Amino acid sequence: MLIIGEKLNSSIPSVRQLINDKDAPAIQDLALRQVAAGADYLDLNTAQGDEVVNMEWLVRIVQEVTDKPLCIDSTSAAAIKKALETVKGDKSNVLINSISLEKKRIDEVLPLVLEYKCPVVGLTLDDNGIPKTAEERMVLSERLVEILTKNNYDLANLYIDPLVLPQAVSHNNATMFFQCLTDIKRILKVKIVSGLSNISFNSPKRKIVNRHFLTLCMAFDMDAAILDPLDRKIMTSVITNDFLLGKDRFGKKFLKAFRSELLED
Amino acid sequence: MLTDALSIAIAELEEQQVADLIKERLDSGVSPLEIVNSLQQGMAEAGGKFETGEYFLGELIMCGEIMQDSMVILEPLLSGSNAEYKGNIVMGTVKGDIHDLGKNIVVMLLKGSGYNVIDLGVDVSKEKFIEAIKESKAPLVGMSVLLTGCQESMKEIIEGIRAAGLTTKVLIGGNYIDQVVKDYVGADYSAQAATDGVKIADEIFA
Repeated sequence: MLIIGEKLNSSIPSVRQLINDKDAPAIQDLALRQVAAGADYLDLNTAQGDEVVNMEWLVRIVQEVTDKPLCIDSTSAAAIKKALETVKGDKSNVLINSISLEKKRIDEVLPLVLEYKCPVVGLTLDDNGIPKTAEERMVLSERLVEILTKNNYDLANLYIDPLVLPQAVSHNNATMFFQCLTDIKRILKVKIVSGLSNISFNSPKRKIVNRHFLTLCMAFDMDAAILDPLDRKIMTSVITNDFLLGKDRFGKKFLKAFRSELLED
Repeated sequence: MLTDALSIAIAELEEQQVADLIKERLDSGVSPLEIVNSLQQGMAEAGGKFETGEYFLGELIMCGEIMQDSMVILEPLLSGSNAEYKGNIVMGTVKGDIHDLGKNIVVMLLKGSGYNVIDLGVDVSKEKFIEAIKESKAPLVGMSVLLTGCQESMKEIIEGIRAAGLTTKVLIGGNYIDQVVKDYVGADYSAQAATDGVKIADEIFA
């Protein structure tokens, strides 16, 4: 499964502080530690603060130390545009997080996705908000696929995020999410990504809930997750699940992780 | 310590890298046999890591598969480059034992080294060994065994081969095989590591 490292996010107070202080060494350290832990993408979010200016800085200093592809996490077309302009190397590697069926995002962010031919996260959300049922989310997913197809977009680059809602709010939220996973993958044959942690909102022992939710999602063939790769227990779950799900030939990665002492009981 | 990039790649199970390097070397005119030698060295390294407990079974098997996939490309070229085989070798796991992992690795290495291997499979009877040796006139027969309970069976097969008047050299191999077992069953050579098998064959066919 593809791992998008979530640490460089301005909604984390300590990281927001580092961004505001322009503490390049600390940010670069956080980037490199996520890469070492197995992140395939590094998520960058500067929404809390002077977004466009901070995004330009963040992209630049992260790319000084690693060429891991970046995931630009913003609702602002201006911030995404600035990030794309700043990125060195292959800009078509940048994962744009995200578009949705909201008119503003379609009008402003989608053109950037098409221009740079980037992979993109598509949220099942429109101007009426987040739908309550799996069926309605399927409808939104179909609409998004239709719009992208019309624009000759390569659907292999699309990651739909069916938006997890807290299990504390409705005890059917996780199963509804699994339903979305199954239907979207079967009918539309596109990839699925999730941020996971919303599932445990307002529950105790959130990490346990997140980890088990991740395992279940992987059993439903989820393609990518936005998570904290520095959390050894969740990475242990990812690596072990890939092994058990037959996605790790001969357990090569599992055994390598064992020898590198990355696996935690 | 391995220094050859291809040996390192196969020892580290870097499948794609192995495929790329083989193609690159063939394109630049390196002899297929030399490429096989590099692969063998890497495989021996992986085997060594398995013996010391650093590698696990999955990794040993994966290494064998990479070797096998590589041989699919290299084998036809090999027979072209040294038009004749170095000789015939009969191989099999002895009657009563059905383990073939070790045997298959040795077969693969021997083939890679340019021998024509007649692989009789597992649970092979005295009669089958004798028939194959007679037919191929192989100067060497390799017997594999994993189960300690099959020592008697191996002894019986070797006695049968001798009783049939065949002077073929007998090499026995397996995890618990040592000098004592070799003497007891009446074999000529014994090997514990797959790569020893190749060394012994080279000695006999030299």
